[in-house]
Amino acid sequence: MNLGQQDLDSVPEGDLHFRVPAVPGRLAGLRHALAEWAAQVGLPDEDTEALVLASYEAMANTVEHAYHNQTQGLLDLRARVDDKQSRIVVTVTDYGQWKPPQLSGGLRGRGLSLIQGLTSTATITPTTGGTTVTMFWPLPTDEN
Amino acid sequence: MLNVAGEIDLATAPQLGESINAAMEQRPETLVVDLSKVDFLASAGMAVLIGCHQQAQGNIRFRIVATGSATFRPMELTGMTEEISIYHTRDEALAAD
Repeated sequence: MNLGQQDLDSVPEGDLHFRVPAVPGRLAGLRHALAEWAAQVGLPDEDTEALVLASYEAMANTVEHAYHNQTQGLLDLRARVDDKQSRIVVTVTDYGQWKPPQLSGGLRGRGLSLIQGLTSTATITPTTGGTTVTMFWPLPTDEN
Repeated sequence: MLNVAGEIDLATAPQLGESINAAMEQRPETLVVDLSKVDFLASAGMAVLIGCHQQAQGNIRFRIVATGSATFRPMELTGMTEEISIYHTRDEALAAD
């Protein structure tokens, strides 16, 4: 099943990287791939659920807000294991310009508050070239 | 009673909205949206549920059945549980006044 374009140039083995057009129809495939990858690297089921939802919300935010001036843009989803700190690092990157969340009766902005509720570690890094959302999840360590 | 199953995200939330709207057009006294078989609920889905709840207010009693980490937990995190009547089982939703 072809889920997206895997950038093979600089992806260390074991890492996850998908680059897709930022459209709603592509996100489910990425979400499933991310869930599978997180389980493979040993993240407990409950944390995987939180990781997948938070990452999805970041991706959905990109689809909805990053490219309002253009017809379409790209979205990068990356996930890797940081062995030194025993944690998973997930990043969602776009190359557009975020619209600030609209204040419309609480319907918008719910995605970001969901991310913040699911992980205390989410950071949003905007640059002139785009925005990256970074999230961390601790991995269980073997303790003898 | 509307039974929902599967994943509710940006792509599938509009379909959910259409289904709920169609059910509300029947003008029931109470509409119960059962999310027990939903295994993924994104904020796009929550926005649809809230929008339908707002539309129903005054005319139809709008209730949701949800339990577990895929549906109840995200709704709790966003404060939806304070805005909408959410029950853990279908029986509770139907029995409530």
